[in-house]
Amino acid sequence: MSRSAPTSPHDATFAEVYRTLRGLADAYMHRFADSPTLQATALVHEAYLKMAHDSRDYTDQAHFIRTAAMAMRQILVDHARARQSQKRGSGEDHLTLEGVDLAQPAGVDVLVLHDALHRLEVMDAQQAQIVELRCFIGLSVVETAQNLQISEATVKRDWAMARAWLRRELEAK
Amino acid sequence: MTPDEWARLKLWFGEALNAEGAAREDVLVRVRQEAPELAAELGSLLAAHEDPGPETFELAPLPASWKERFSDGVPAGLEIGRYRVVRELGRGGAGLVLLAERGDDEFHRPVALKLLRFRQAEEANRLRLERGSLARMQHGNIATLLDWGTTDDGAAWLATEFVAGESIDAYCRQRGLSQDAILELFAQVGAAVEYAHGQAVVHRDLKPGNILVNRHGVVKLLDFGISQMTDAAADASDLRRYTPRYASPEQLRGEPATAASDVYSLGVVLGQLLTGELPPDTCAVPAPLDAILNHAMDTDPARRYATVGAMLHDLERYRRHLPPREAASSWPQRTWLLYRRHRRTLVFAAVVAAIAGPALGWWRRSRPGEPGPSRPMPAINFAAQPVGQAGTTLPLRVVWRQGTRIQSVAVVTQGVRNLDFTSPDASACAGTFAAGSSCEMHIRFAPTVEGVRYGAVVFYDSQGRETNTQFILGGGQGQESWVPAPMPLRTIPGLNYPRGLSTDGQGNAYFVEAYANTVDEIPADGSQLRVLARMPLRLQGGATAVDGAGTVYFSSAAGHAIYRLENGIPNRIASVPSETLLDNNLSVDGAGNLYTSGDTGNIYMVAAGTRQVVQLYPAGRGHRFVGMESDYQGNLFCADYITNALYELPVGSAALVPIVKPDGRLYQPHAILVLANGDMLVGNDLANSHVLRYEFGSDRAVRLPAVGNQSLALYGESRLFTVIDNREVAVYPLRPAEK
Repeated sequence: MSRSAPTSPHDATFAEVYRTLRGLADAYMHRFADSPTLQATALVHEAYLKMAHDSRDYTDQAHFIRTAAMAMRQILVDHARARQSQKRGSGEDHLTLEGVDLAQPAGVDVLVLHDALHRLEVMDAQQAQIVELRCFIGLSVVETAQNLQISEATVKRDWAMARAWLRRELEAK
Repeated sequence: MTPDEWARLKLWFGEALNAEGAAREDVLVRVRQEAPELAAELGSLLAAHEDPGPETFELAPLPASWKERFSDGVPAGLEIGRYRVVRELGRGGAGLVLLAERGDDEFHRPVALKLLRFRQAEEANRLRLERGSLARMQHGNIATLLDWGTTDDGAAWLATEFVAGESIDAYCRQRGLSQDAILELFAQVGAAVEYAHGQAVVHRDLKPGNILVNRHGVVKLLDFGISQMTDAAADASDLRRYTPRYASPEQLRGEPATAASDVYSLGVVLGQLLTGELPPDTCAVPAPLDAILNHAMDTDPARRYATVGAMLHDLERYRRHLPPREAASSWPQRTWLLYRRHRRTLVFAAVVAAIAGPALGWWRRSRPGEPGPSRPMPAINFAAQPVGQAGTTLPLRVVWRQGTRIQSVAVVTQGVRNLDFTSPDASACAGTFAAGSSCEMHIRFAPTVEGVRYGAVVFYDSQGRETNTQFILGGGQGQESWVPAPMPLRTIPGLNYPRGLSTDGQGNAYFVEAYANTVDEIPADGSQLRVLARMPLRLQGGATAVDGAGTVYFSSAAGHAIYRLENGIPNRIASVPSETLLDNNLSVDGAGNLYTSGDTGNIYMVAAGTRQVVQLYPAGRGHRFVGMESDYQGNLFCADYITNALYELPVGSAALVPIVKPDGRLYQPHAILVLANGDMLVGNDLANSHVLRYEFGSDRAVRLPAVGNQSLALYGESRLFTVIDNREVAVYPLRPAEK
């Protein structure tokens, strides 16, 4: 499998994968808002089957996965932003939440991770891609290495460094 | 930090990673000399790296629904519309129920506030239309709708009259009400439903939890039409808002609920109140009541009571000692139930199963979701003789209770044709039959089979559709124990976590490779392993199943879904997004219903021909059924990884029946097989891999020679497929055990 050009959010494949995944994600997330990464695997499976079914021959599965990881990240970010704006929204029949302490859910905030990843991308695109593959659709080290056609040792080292940097960045938040 | 600086840092970081302890310090010292501007950053990154933390970043769940947001309870004083929350009353599939009072009401009159979830804003508009009819409903036995509104983040709320009372089942149980008192109470329930039907409102989710009785003995029905509204907001693939144990077969099939669906649920509720059991064992009630209940619970909506009023009328006649007018007596059902109840203990017993239409109806109804009533169902009368032994013949007489036309007949066991027994003269039962006419055939048992545990004769109509499936044989006892030969016939090495073996009628075997993400076939003709399908991401676990027609299904743990292979392309037919589906537990029964189970102990069914996931057994009871198999009828045999026991979940039941209790030998059982003679093979103990055999009716284990155990499948009585060391499938010939 040849290593195809890096996907950009502007290319046609991305748009198609994003649309398919987004449709599926909307249906899923409304019902099961917890553990988005866990469902991401299911969503990507389904999107892939759907698209392979439809017409396009996704012979380069690795490329599809990279596109899906990026689309997944964008979808989660879109969802998180939508929720944020809803909280500020106005209308009739307000639900008053003043004075109510909502427990902070465990885990990394999607938007915070997204911003940090954005900064990492500027410094090291490959490390950012590794994080994207590992965090947004849950690839293992071995799978990440296969997907990017690089050695496992490289993935391990890059992942360790990116993770260390992210840990620090996220903690600072 | 610039990309260049970062690239240099990466080299140092890599070097430090390869060094341990003091050597790592040395690297830092060198960096301070050679690249002082990077030293601080490197030190900080290494410190962050050494910090014990999770391997990867878990994303926080998005702030979501009411239920999730208020998972620890809704805070008192929260204001919703004009109302102030006092406390939470409960939570269910449709939303949260709160006790609240109007902020501007000096009398502090309590209301029940229900928060619903909607998919889209436009669905809220639908609510606006629906509640018009709800608001018009004024009945003494229906909780009145008082007020409604929508919050800004998509939750609609309804305020209804607050009913201080308890659910009708608890009310009857605690007071030990007599049958007559129960019927009197039920008449109030019926009157309310009848009134609503007159207003063109269907309840759709009638169950004791929605039927409250206050301290004056007045019945109040809750949630009228609410499931209707939330349903409208759910798409076709969604889990519907009903309670499976009370829902009618048509609801389980995903068809729209009608007044007849409410009649069905009323039958279940009344049966439960009268017998204390769910599903109600109507044998326990007097025959006329039995007939009334069965008429209400007919699988075919068209054959139920046409109105609630008609059902109430029959119940009233019963109370006055008059025979029911609409419901016919259903005596044959008793025979059937008797048979079912003692099925496991029958040893070469004479099974005289006089099975007639209503009995068949009962059986079909108790299999939620089975597509039955839409098809022609000639009721048949089997007059079975003593269950056959190897090499013997069983004469079978079929009496047609209705006129019917049969194109062809098949004799099957365990979803596979003609493996253990055949009927060379079965074609005698093909043709056109008038009501009351009969035909005869002879079941011949294969010489290798000592006592067949179950089987069926299947009749097909001219379109090749299955018109009827019925059991003819009761339990048998294997005279012979079959054990794998010491050497495998064949091994297939180099696999990556093969899981969920299954075989079809031709002896081809199927499995998934959990980490190679493929669905594979071992052809029966000895040719090479074939990859049938590849998935893009890890399956992480799963299983396969093959139905009688040879269609292959597989499940994916990480994909949270069940797929059907269609011309080599996987098609997702059902998903359970909230659960990781377990290994070795996908199976399909003779009717084509699929069964699987998740890591929280839930058991699910996908009814034949549907995409509907029905929960058969609820989670949260400390079970994990890795390894589950259904028999032809749909009884499930489950190996429980947590409690180290084996269970059966009989068809139509929500209660597990222990088959083998923890015996000191069962340890993390994770694969199970039921042989045609009723014996069970269990893949046991992952670390000390072996297979246990429990003979039919016995709970004493015999340990088989080491044959691998991470998954098991059987082809008739001739081949055993097993997984060895997570990387190899071995095929063993079976031979009789030495006595």
